[in-house]
Amino acid sequence: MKKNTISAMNRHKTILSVILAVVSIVYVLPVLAVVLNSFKQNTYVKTDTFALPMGEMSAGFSNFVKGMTFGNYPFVNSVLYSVLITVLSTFLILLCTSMAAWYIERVNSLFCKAVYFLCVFSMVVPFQMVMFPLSKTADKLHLNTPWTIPVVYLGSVPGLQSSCL
Amino acid sequence: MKSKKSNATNSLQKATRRWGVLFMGPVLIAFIIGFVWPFIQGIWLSMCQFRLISDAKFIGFDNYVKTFQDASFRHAFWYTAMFAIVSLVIINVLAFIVAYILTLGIKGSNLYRTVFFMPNLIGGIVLGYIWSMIFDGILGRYQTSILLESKYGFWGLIILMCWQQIGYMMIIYIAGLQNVPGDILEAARIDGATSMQTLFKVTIPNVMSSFTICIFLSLTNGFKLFDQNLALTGGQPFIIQEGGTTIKTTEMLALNIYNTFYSSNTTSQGVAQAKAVIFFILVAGLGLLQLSYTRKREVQQ
Amino acid sequence: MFVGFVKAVPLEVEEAASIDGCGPVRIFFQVVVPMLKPTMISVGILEIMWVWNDYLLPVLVLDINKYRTIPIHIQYLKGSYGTVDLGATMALILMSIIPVIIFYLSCQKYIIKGVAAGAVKG
Repeated sequence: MKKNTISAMNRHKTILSVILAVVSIVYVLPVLAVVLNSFKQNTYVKTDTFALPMGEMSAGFSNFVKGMTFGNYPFVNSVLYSVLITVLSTFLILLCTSMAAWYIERVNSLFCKAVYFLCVFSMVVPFQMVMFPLSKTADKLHLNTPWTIPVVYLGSVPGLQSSCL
Repeated sequence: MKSKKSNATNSLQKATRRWGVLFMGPVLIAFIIGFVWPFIQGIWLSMCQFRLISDAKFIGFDNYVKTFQDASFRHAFWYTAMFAIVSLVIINVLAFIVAYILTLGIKGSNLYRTVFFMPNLIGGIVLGYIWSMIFDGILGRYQTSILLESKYGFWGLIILMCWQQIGYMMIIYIAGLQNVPGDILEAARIDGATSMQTLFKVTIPNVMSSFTICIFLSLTNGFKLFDQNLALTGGQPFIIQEGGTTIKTTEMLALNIYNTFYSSNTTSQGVAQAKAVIFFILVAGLGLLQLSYTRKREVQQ
Repeated sequence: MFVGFVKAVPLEVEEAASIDGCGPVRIFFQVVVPMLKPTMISVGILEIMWVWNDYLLPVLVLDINKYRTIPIHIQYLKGSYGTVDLGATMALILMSIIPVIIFYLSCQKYIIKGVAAGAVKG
């Protein structure tokens, strides 16, 4: 009797496992489609989205070469700026917020409590609320370069919540 | 002994206080630039007419009146609410099912978890383009496009959000499920409960806190959605009404506010800021609701 | 999130260090930071995910004629042309998600832990 239930359970698990495997494949499909289409000639992307880039459809690596200077802006630059901004901002946020958190927790004065409350409050404010004044202020203070934008990240709404996406 | 200890604490606290500027300074300055000042300005500007901030002129509550008369804003509001609720239900149900299956101890669970979480790391703009290519690939066979019918735009965005968010919610549910004490499950099994009974009577009540987190998270995510909306449809298709106003049928609140800010209309900035204030009240209301709800739950336990 | 974790750092260690004559700055960097390390990794990863994918903030703040991040670049491909070379766009998208996927696969453990911790402790 007991053996039966165990083997039934195992069968259930196998079935579930197969279902999950299928679902995972479906899950990766969009990324695969990107891979396929990145080797395709432009006109075929719309008409034969899910076909393999074979024969006349194939564009080889020309898309990648073209993509480098596409849109009047070198792709490499945008990668560099993305990396720069991400690294600088993350470093700055980690350093400064951990210092402030330690100070707030250890000193715990009225002022600290007020700052802490403001931070919690800023978590519920959507970015659209501060969007327009913030962009103008940042312009005025010359924070509009990749080297200075980490300051805006540190202070902007989601920077301090530091955990909620 | 005790007094010595508190002495040490006191002297340390004093010493720390002296360095306050170093510890708090950077965050405070950045916080004022990035949040406090723009926030105050934002509230003030919502009652002004302006194009740049320097030429702001106080006009009272006109902007709010205009906001409520704006058909596109009303449409965006209902559209967003619909979207948030539908995506909330679908995402949470699916994420919980996947999390439940993955905690049963199936071979390769880790691999599946890896796959399901992956889309979460791809940014909203990129996601939008990936899916607009896929949807156009499918709909193109029927001589139509995601940009031509608003219902395609709606469900397309739902599919996109499911793809992105299920993995995230799944992780939270898995963490919750792993915290369900094993002896309770064991007891239920010995009492002869079927697996379905155990699931609904024992497991689900025990992961209620995960449910609360995920429900509010997906609700606010749905309301604040911007990148994906912009990249997938950008609000198309448009309907031009008799009065000459355009309604972008798949435009959500955040995008509506953005478009109002950066439209060519010279008086629209104030209206946009008023919309932003209303949007803020909405989202903050949701946040407070969540807070009071979790508090109540913690008290009960 | 940090505040909650600071609470978990035992005061005694800091006191001992202060009796030994350490100033607060040294205590922070030599005693507290090492103990906060796991939290820092979690927060750091969430931060990286957010900043890397963020579109709206940089597009509003940066001078986009000079500086563009990857999301801005991809969005402006569509904005600047009527018809876009989809093949090349896809090639760009592929190139921009490959580093993300490599990052994910190599730090997977921390990422998933960070997300779970971040969501639960808020």
